[in-house]
Amino acid sequence: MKKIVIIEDELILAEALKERLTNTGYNVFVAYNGEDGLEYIRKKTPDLLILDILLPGINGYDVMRKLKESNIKVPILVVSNSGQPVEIEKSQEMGVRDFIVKVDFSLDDVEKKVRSIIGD
Amino acid sequence: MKLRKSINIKVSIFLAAIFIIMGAISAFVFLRDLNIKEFSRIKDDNYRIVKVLTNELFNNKEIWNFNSAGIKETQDKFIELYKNITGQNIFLLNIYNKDSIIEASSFFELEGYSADNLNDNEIKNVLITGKDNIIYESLEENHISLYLKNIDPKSKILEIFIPVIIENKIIGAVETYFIIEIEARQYVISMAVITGISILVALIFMYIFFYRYIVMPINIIRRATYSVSKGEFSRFIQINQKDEIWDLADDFNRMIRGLNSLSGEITRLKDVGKMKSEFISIVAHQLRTPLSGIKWALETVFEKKLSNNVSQWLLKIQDLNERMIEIITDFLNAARIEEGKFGYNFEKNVDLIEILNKIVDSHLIGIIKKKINFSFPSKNSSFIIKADVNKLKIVFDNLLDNAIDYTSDNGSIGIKLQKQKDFVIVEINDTGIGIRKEDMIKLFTRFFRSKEAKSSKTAGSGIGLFVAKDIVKKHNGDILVESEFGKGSKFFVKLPIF
Repeated sequence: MKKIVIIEDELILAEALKERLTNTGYNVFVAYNGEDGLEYIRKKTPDLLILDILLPGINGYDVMRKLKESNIKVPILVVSNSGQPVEIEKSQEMGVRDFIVKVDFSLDDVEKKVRSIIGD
Repeated sequence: MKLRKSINIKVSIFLAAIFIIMGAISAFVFLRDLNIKEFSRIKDDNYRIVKVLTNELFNNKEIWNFNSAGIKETQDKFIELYKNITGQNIFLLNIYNKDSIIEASSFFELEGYSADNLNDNEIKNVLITGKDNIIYESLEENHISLYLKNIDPKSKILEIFIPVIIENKIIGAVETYFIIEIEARQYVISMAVITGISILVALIFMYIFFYRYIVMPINIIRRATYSVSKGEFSRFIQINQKDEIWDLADDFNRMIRGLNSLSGEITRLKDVGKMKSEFISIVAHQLRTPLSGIKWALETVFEKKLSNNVSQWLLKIQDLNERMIEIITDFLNAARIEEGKFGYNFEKNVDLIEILNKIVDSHLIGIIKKKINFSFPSKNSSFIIKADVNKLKIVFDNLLDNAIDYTSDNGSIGIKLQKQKDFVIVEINDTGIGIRKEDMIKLFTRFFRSKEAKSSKTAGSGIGLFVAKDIVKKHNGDILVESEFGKGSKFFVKLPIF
């Protein structure tokens, strides 16, 4: 079973995403801030990280940077709130696989993206 | 100083031209007039003198028997007397009898003069043609007849005929020629030169005057207005001449004082405007998270087993949520445009048709629901442009949203594409409520909603077209609109083909 870590501070978003992806057949862990998320990743070595940018404490970019520093390679799907071109560009530079703006995408869309990145 | 720009030089040239034209006209008229007057004065004087001399000399009946000896004496005396009076020589003196035959002529006796060796052709002509040129003039004075040769006033010879009348009978005539010089011309020319020089001097003084009292102060005011246009409201003008220009400077200074107090207000208003957009931006941004939470939560709930009734309600909530997301996104976009933070991410080789097809797909439900007759004939063609795909989607999403919202059931909507030079024009037409003429100019401004739009059931922020216009402009294109109120509208999106 593929493992997915979600770092998302908005409880209902994280829970909705977790429920959908669990039902689809993934093993999902949720962290509500960057530090917890990093700890999860180090322990579980997931197949995919679903990452929000604006987080309490360290933000999404910091998480990506720390992963790079620790040489942990994990595909990242950014799920952001704003979708400003600067944000998308910055994320692309840091090597994320895909970028989703929350209000514009449905859970179905997210599921499709996840599937296309890591398969079933 | 550039020639064409200086009032001073313009006025000087203008005045100089007027002076020269006026001077030329008056010199011409004056000279002509003076010539004629001078000539007739000399003519009258000579006529009077010759008449007196003639009367005096021929009063003795005895002399008038035209014996050559007597005539010769008379001639000499006549010439001498004339010279005594006028200081001039008579050029020629002929004495005629009553049959107009020359009885005696001083010409042949005057040393050095002969009709043949005269150089002056004019004089020669007069002498040779003789009486043929005589015209008859009648002077009222003393009922004396005068024969005068028709001499051009410009010529230098004056010929006078005086009849010799004894006991009221014309016995013969005395003909005299004088050489006369009219010096008036020289006089006028030198006068013109003096006048010309004085006009020139006057012009120089006028130039200096104009420069000092008009051009210079205008330049000072101009420099000051320039700094106002650059946003500097602290420069006052000081002009030390009490006239209209001083008034202007005074008004200018008053305006500066006014602007000074206004600029504080303007800065404050700018700050308020900035704060407003920032506020909208923050609020809209903060609302997006809970709205997307509701969106995803609803989706999760729909996976559960729900009663028909609950599911109907939830669908309505979902509808409302989507509408809220749309409005909030519009607000956020408008605020970003105002803050200059509406970043673009242009891609080459974007297929416009692909974007349009996606937009159409996402509106199919609305189109079907309202039983709208929809046509999009070019959906299988291809137009490659350079674009920010997400931004262009906002544009067409807005336009198609509007078309559907403001078109009643069973109406028609069409999308047509057309190439025009280096542009592709996307026309989105509808048979909706249309736009009033007076609303057209406000159509693309922020928060504008027409009376009809407000009273219709559809929700709208009045921001969509403002955002759309800005996006298309950033693509070096434009949005144009044609509409007939009550019948429908056509929106044209013009984009450069890549």
